Amino acid sequence: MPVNERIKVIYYSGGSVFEAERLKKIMEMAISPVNIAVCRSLESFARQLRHPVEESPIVVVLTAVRDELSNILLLKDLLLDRRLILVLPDDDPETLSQGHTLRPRFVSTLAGNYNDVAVVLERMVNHDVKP
Amino acid sequence: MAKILAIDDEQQFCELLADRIRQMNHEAVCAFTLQEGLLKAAAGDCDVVYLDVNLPDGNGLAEINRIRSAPSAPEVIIMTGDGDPDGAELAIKSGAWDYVEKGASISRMTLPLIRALQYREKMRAGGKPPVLQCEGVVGKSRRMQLVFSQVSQAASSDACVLIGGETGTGKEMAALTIHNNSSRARRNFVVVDCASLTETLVESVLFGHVRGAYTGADSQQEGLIRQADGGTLFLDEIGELPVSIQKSFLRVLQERRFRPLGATQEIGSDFRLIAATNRNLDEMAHKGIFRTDLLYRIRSFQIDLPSLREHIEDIEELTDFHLEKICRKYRIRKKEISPELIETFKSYPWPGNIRELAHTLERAVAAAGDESTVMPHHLPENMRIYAARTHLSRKEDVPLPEQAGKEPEGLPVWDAFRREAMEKAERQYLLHLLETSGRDLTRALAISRLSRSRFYEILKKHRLTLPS
Repeated sequence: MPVNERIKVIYYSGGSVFEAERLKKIMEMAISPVNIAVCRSLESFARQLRHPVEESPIVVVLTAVRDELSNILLLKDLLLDRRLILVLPDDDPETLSQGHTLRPRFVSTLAGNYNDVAVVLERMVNHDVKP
Repeated sequence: MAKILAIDDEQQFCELLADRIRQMNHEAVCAFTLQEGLLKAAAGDCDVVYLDVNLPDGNGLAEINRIRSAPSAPEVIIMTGDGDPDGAELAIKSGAWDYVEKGASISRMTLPLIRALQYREKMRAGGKPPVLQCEGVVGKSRRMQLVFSQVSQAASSDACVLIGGETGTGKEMAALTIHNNSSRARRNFVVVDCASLTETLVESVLFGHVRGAYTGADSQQEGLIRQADGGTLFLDEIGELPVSIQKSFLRVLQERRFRPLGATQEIGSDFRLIAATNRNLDEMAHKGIFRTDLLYRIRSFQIDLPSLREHIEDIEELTDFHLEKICRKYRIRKKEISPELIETFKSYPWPGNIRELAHTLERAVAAAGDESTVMPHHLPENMRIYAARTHLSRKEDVPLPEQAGKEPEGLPVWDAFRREAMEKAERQYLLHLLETSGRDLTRALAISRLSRSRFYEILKKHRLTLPS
């Protein structure tokens, strides 16, 4: 279990490749050259979250459909102490309620243009918000 | 009728206060030295103790915990003639009920007594704080018991709460505990991290917006205030809330109604506010960078979380709690913690508080790998260096045991003093020996010139172990 000292952002997106790439590009533009660990499966995401790191990384999760959010909720114990930015599939009250159980530091939805996510992420990474 | 004890070396003043208390139909007892007061308090039937700070045989503030631990758990009201704000803060932080100046009128001095007795009456009548469903808020120390009591009171009301405390002290956990134990527990607990929002973003995030409200508002978005309807809105780092937003947020707090950006109509939200900060909001208000009216509004109920240094006696329980959590997270068998590690933790100042402790443990568990016990050498280098330096600087300084067999004159009984000093010195030697020898038995025996059986005997006495 070696300690990884470089990863500052863990990014999970298991669904739509198009949306996943779109958000990734926007994040990279906002925080380059910060290293982003990309996870495309729940298994690799869980593995990454269990990996000890020098500084607690920021976690960005993009859920394109509700089932994906349900799967993410299974990893709740691994996510609760993290600085989490959560992108939800829609703004239905039920979806929002489920999202808030993860106590994210910022919530957005798929309907947005992700600029808000980029702004918050940049601030978290570069302004040393809460270790 | 309640029983009140007044501890003050100014006999005339003490009798005057006692007379006033008797006029209120309560029993009043006086003690003119700290030792006499401690004995009377320990008798176990006082409801409230008026305690002077500067007594001829000691400092009253240092004995609050001892008085509070009497069987009747009396409330302590601190008295001083100095009007010292730092002393007042220390008194409250030490668990005193209130703080009064001796220069005030006797009637004014008895006001906190009335409140304290009303509170105790309520507790006796069944108003005891309910058992909390805690969210990682851990500790048995007096300071943490006070926090639990305040959290419990906050959970049973719907007032705005301001949680203060250094970074990493668990403000969000305290807020969540309040929410989960409140009547709003079934609804959303919505976190707003004010520190990670820019001035331009915070307004739309809080209030929401309609499509086209501003450039880039491609779709309608419900604000977090609305999402907290029926539940709790947790404003973390509220000191970072831009002044421009503070005014509109104050209005929302007053009316529970607001207008999303670009909308023509107002909407309502029945939310409960819990705010947290590690900044001095009074000072910010004084400087004009935080609205005083907003501060008053959010501070209906205030809870100040202690730094880890202030309740270091909880470190073992905290370590155990977080270790279990970490081992569960990594899906490994729970590891043991060596007593030396706890000693190191006790001597470390923990500037990052509980969050730093959890993070340190996580790294130590990773460094321990397959080993079943986490030991000091698994800790980060900076912490080991700190522990070593502290250890060396204390090596020649055997502290005077403070409590053992203390006599009224303030000096401990010789035998008790000697025994305690010897035990402390022995333990320090053993810890240093284990560290120097790398916990290697042969080396430890060679350095100490102890026989194997004697070495094990002393280790056992101090509940220390060597890896098998």
